[in-house]
Amino acid sequence: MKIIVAEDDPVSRERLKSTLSKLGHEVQAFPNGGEAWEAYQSGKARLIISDWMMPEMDGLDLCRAIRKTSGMDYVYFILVTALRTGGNDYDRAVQAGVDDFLVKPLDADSIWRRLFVAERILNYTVTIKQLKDLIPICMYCKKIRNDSDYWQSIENYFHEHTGSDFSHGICPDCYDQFSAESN
Amino acid sequence: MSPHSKLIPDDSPLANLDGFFAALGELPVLNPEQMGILREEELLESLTVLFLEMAGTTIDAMVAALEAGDIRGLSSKAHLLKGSAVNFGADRLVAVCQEVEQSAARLKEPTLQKLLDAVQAEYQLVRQALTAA
Repeated sequence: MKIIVAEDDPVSRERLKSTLSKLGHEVQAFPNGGEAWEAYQSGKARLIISDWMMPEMDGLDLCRAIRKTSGMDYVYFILVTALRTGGNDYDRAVQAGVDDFLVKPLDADSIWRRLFVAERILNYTVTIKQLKDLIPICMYCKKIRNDSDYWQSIENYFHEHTGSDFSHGICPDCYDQFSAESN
Repeated sequence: MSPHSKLIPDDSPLANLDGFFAALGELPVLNPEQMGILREEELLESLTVLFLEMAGTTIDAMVAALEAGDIRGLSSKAHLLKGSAVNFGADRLVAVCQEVEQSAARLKEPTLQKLLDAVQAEYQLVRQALTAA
C-alpha cells in the first residue's frame, strides 16, 4: 500500500519509514504537512500517518485539506500523538476527520495493528464505492442486475452484498397515490 | 510526585523546582525496555545518529528562543525534542522538555532558564548513555 508519512522529527520519521517499509509498504516521508499535502495531490496514497504539531501545515490542517477533496478514493488518516494528549484534543482530531491514532513512542506491533484495521476498512470503502458507482438498475421495476446477469430485487441484492435487511413501510407520496387508486 | 505532571504552578519558588528535579532523579536516563525494542528492530544505531544531530541543533534553537523572548518557539522546540527523545525512552529528558513545553507561557525567564539548563544537562546524560550503548 502507498503510504505518506508527515513527521517533523527526523527520528520518529525514520522509525515510521523503516517499520512501514519492513511491513512491505511503499512509503513517502516528509518533514511537514505542506510537502505531504503536495505529495498526496500528485499521488494515490490511500493511507496517511501524520504527526500533529508540525511547521507550515500541521496534522489536523492536513487532514482537513484531504477531507475537503472530492472525487478521490477514501484516505485513511492516522494521527501520531504525544503520550499526554488530552480528551479535547482527541475530540478536535476526530472532528477534523482523523480515523485512528498512534501514540509515541511508536512500536512495530502497534503500527502493524493500525495498518491491519486500516486495510480492512479501506477494502470496505472500495466495495461501497463499487456498489455506489456501478449498480445497474431497471428504470421501471428497480430490480438490480447482479454479477451473474440475473435481475433480483433491491432487497435481496443489498442483503447479499451488505447483510442489511429492510423494514417495509410506505412513503407519503406512495401512500397518496395508492389511496387515490383504491378509492 | 510524578515528574510527568505539571509541578510548577507559576514563577516558582526554588522549592518547587527542587521538588521537580528530585522526582526527575527517580527516572532512568534511558528506559531499558524502549532501548530493547530499538535493538530488536535493528534501529538503535541509525536513530542514535539522527537524534544526536537533531537534539544539538534543537537545544541551540531553544536557547536562542529564550534569549529572544520567543516563548512559542521555545515551547515548540521543546515539543520536538520530547517527541524525538521518547523513542529512546529518555524519560528524564522527556519530562523536562514536557515541563518547558507546557509551562513556558506562564513561567518567568529565570525559572525557564533553570529548566533549559536541566534540558542541556539531561541531554548530555542521554548522549553519553547512547554513545556507550
